Amino acid sequence: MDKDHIVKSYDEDLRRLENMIAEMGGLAEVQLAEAIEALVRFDTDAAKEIVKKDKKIDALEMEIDDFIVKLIALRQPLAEDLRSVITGLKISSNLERIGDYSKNIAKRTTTLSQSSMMPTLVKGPIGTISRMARIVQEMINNVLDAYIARDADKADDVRAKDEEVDQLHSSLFRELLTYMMEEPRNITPCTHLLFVAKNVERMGDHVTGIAEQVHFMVHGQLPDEERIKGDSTSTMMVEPPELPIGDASE
Amino acid sequence: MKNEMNELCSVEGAEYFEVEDRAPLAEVKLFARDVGVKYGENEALKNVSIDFMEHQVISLIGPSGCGKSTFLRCLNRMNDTIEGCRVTGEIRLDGKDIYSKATDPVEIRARIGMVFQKPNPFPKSIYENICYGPRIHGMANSKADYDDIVEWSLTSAGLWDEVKDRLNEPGTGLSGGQQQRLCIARAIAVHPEVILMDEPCSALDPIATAKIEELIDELRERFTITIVTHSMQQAARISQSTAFFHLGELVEEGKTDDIFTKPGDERTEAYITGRIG
Repeated sequence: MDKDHIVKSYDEDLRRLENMIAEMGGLAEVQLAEAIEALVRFDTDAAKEIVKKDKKIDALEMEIDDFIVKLIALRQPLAEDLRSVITGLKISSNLERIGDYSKNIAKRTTTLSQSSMMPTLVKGPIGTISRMARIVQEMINNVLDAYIARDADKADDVRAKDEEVDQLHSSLFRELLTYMMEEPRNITPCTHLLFVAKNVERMGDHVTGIAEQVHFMVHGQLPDEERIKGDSTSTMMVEPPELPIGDASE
Repeated sequence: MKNEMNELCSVEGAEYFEVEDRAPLAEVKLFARDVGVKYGENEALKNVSIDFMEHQVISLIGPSGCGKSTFLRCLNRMNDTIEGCRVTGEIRLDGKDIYSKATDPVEIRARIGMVFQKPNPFPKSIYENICYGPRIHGMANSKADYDDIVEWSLTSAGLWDEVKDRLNEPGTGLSGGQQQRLCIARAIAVHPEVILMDEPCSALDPIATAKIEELIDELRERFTITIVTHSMQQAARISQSTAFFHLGELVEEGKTDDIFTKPGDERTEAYITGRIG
C-alpha cells in the first residue's frame, strides 16, 4: 500500500525498521564475502577480524528486536503493517544466523591454515565453495531488494535459486569424501571444508526463509509450491573401491 | 405501555419491503439482504447483506458516518422511531421477516435487545431497572419470580456480587462500568436471542472495558451478539466475524482473523492500518 499513515511518526518508525534490516543484511553480505576471501587466501588476520565483526550483527539483531517490541506495543500494527513488522522480526533472526555461519567459516579458516595438506586441496573444493558463496551473496542482495520493494516475484526467484547452491554442495560433499578416502591426512582439512560448505548451504536455506517471509509479507500467505531441493547429502553413500582379495590378511 | 410503544413505532410514511416468510436457514440467526436506509433523500446505507450466525459475535467497524450504527438500528427496528427514515430490503430473525406488517416491533425488540454507547439506566432502583422489561412483557407473576429474574440477570452480567446488598439504590449511582453492565443485565432480563451493542465501551475505562469484553465472550454461549466498535483491537479480541462499512456500503465481511491480518479490500486495509483513505 502506497498511502501514508495519518500518524506520520508511524511511517518513520516503519522506515527506520526497513533501514535497520537493510543495514543488517548489508553487513551479513559483506561478512560472507570477506570470510570466503580470507579462506581463499588463508588470511588469518582477516579471519580474526571477521569473528570480531559478527558482534555488530548480533547487536543489530537485539536493537531490531527491541524496536519491534516497542513498535507493536505503541502502534498495534494491523494487516500489512503487522505482516511487515513480524517479517522484520524473522528476517533479522535469519540474518543473525547467516552472520554466525560466516563467523564459523572464519574460525575454520584459522584452523585450516595450519594444515600441511591445504595447498593441494585449494583449487577444487575451495573453488566450489567460492561459487556457492557468490550465489548466496547474490541471493542475500536480491532478497533485501525484494524486501524493500515489497516484490514477491523477486523473492520467489531468490527462493528458486537455492537449488543451485544445494547441487554444488552435494557434488562437493562427494568430492571431499573421495579425497578423504584417497589420503587419510586429508581427513582433518576435508572435514573442516565439509563444515564450511555446509555453512554456506545453510546460509542459502536462511535466505530462502527470508524470501518466503517476503512473499508472506506481500500476499499474506507463504508460497504454495514446495521448493525444489538439490541437496542430496543426507542420503549419500560413497564407498571406497573394493580391495583386491587377500589384501586384508596382509 | 405496549400501546404507547406501538404508536411510537408506526411512523407515518414508513415503508417496508414485504417478502414471504420462509423456513429458517441452518444456524443463521439473523439474516439481512440488500438492506438500504434513506433519511428523506439522503441514502445512508445501500445493499447490505450479512448473515448473523447463532452464538457468534460480529463486529461492525468503519469511520464515523459510514452507516454501521444505522444498520445496527435496522436490526431491531429502532429506525422506525425516526421520522422520514425508510428501510428497504429484507431482515429475518429465525427466517421470519421482522419488517412484515404482521410482526410486532415490541416483540422484535424483546427478542433483539440493545445496549447503547452511553450507559443509560432508568432513574429507578437497580432492582426496578431489571424488572422494567419483564413487567412490560408480563414475564412473572410473583415477587419471588421477579427476584429470580433480577438475580439471574445481574449474575449473567457479572454484576450481582457488586450490587446484591444495594438493589434498592438508584442505578444511576453506580460507576460507569457498572451502569453499562446494569444496562446489559436489563437487556438480557427479557431473555432476548440477539443483543445489539452500539459502542458499549467507548465511555468506559480499560478495566471496565475488559470486564464488558469478558462478559460478551461469556454471553456468546447464550446469545447472538452484534457490536459496533471504533476500537480495532476490541473487534479483533471479541468477535468471530467483522464487517467493514464505508460511505454507506458494506465493503467486506469475513472472519475477524482474516480481516485484521490480510483484508481483501484496499479500503479496509487503509482504514484498519490508519492510513488516509
